[in-house]
Amino acid sequence: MIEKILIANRGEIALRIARTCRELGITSVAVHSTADRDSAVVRAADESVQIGPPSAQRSYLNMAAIVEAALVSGADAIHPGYGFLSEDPDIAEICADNGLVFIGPEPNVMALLGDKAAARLAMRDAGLPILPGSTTAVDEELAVRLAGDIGYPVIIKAVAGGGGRGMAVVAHPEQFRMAYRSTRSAAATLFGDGRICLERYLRRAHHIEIQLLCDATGNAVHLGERDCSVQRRRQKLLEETPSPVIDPELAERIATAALAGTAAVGYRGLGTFEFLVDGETGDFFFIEANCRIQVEHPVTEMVTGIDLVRAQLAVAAGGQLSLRQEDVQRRGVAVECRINAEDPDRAFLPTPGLIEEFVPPGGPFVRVDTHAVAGMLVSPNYDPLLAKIITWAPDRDQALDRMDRALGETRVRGAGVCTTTEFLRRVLAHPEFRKGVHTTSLVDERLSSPTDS
Amino acid sequence: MTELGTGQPERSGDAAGHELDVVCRALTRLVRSFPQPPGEVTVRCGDIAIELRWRDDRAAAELGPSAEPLSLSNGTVSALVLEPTAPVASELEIAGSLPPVAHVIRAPLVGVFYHAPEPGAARYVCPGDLVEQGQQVGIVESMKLMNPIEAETAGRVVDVLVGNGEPVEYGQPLITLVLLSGSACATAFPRAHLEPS
Repeated sequence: MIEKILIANRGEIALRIARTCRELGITSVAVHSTADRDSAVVRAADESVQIGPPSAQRSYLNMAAIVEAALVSGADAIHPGYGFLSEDPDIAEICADNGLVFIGPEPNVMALLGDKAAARLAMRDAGLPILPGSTTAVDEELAVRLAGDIGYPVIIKAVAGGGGRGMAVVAHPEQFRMAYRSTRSAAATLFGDGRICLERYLRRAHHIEIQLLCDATGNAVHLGERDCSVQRRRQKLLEETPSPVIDPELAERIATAALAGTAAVGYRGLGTFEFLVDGETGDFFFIEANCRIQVEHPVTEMVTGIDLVRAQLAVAAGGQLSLRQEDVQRRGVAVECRINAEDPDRAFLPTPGLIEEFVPPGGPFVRVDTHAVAGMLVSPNYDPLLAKIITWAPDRDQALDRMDRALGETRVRGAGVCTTTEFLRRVLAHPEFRKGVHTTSLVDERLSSPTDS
Repeated sequence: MTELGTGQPERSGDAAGHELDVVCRALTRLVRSFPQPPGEVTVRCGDIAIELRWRDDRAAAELGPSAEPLSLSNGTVSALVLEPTAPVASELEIAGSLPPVAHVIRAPLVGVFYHAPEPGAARYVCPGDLVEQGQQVGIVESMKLMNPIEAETAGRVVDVLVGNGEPVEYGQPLITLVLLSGSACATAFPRAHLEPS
C-alpha cells in the first residue's frame, strides 16, 4: 500500500503526478533544485526537499540525493515521471535495495527495453516485425557494411538514447562515417554510452504508438494508439488519438503485436510501444519501447476517461489490473500541442527568460498541463516545454478547430521568450495535416523555414 | 564595476552586454521588492544567475524562505562580482555601522546531519568555539556515505542550527559563524573583478 510518493521530476509532469496523489490521498514529496524552489509542484505537494543546485546532473539526475530524500522523508515509492531517471535501471535497483517501490517495470526489463538494439532483438524473437537493421551495437566498420546492406537512407541511433535524441539520418554513403562518429560522441555526452545501432529509415512514415497497462501477474490491456507523426527532427510537437491515417483494423493488429511484446518480456506498469507504419506499403514495424509515462499521455486519458497516473500507482505495488480489454472504451478525438519556449524563426532556438504574462486557454473540453505562471523564470538548465494544451471533441475537425481556438487565446509574454504557438497553428492549417494524410516528413519537409536546417 | 540600478552594461560583446542589461534591470526590480535589501549581490552573466545574500540573520529571519540566497540559474560563465559602494549603502539605508559579518555553513547535499564523528564521541564544534578555515564542523550522511562538512572560512561558531541526526536538504543552513575582525573586510567585500569563463 503506497502512502507516500516522492516525485523525482520537475515541471508539468511533476505537478501532474502530485495532482493524482492529492486525489488519491497519497502524501506527495517534491524534490527540486534551487532553480525550482518556487515551482508549481513544490506548492502543490505536501512536502518538498531541495536536493541540489540548478544543474540537472546535480539534482534531477542525482540518484543518491533522490533516494536519500526518499529515505529521510519516509516515502514508500518514487515516481520518476518521464525523462531524467525514468528509464535508468540503476535507480530502479537502488530503490529495490532500499525497500522503495520504483514506479516502472523491473530493472532487468527496463535495461532490456532501454537498449534499443536489445529491444529490437527481443521483439523480433517475440514475433514483432522490425525494420532491417542491427540487433546489437555495431562498431564503425560493421556499421558501414550493414548500412550498405540495408540500403540508404539509414538512421543511426544511440543504443541508450531516448526522447528522439542521439539520432542521425544518413541519406548518402559518403556522409555515413561522419554521422556515425558525431552520433557516437553525442551519445556518450548525452547518455554516458556511446554505443550505436542502425536501421532502415522510412522517410514517409506514420508514427503509431500503443499505450499499454500491465500488472505483475501477466494481465495486460492496451488503451489504444496515438499518432505522433508531427515531429521536427524526431521531436514530437503534436499528438492525437485515434490516428487519422490508419484504419481501426490495422490499429488493432499493431496493438495485438504490442501486447505480445509486453508478454514476452514480462512488462509491468504503464508503457508505450512505438511503431512506424510505412506510408507506402502500410507495413508496420516496432521501433522502440518506452518504460514510463509519456509526455503525450493526456490524449489517451481524454478519450478513455482513465487517469493513467492513477493506473500506474494501482499496479505499481503489485496490485492486480481490474480493467479488462472490453472495459476500455474510447470516445471522440483528442489532440495535444506542446508549447515550447523556442523560437521557430531561429531554428527553434530555446529562449529561456522571465515570463511576465502567462494566460493559458480554457473553455469546453480544453485541458492545460503546465507548471508555468507569470513571474516564472524559464530556466536554460532544463527542457523548454512550457505547457501542453489538449482538446477533445466528438470528431477530428472539431478537435482541431478547438485546438486552433485554444492556441489563439494562449498568451505567453516575457523579454526574449518565444513560443511555438504560432508554428503549431500553421501545422493545424496545413492541408495534408487537416486531411489526416500527413507523414513524419510533414514538418521537416513541408514546414521548415530556410534558417531551419 | 557596475552600480545597482543604472543598468549600464559592461561591454563584453553585444550579446553578453544585452544580457547583462536585462539581468541588471531584473536585479533592480528584485532588490526593490524586498523589505530588507540584501547586503551582498553576485551577478553572473551568460546563463544568468543572480545571488543575493542577507548578512544580518535577523533581517534574513524576517524575510522567511525568500531570505535564502536566490540562485535563479547556474552556468559556468564569466562572474562579475558587484562591490557595494557608498551610494548603494545609503540607498539601501543600512543605518549606523554594519552588523557583525556572519557566514552560514550550508549542507552541500541531502542527508542526515551529525554533530560528532560517531555516537558518544565529542561534538565537532559547540557555540563559541573558534574554527579555522577547512576545519571539520560536522557530517552529512547520505546513502551510508559520511560526507565531512568543513568551515569555508575561519570564525567563531555562533549557532548550530540543526539537531543531531536530523535530515537536511541541499543548501540548508547548518552552522553560523561570525567572522573574526581583520578577515571580515576581505571576505565580505570581495573586490570587483571580471573572471573569464
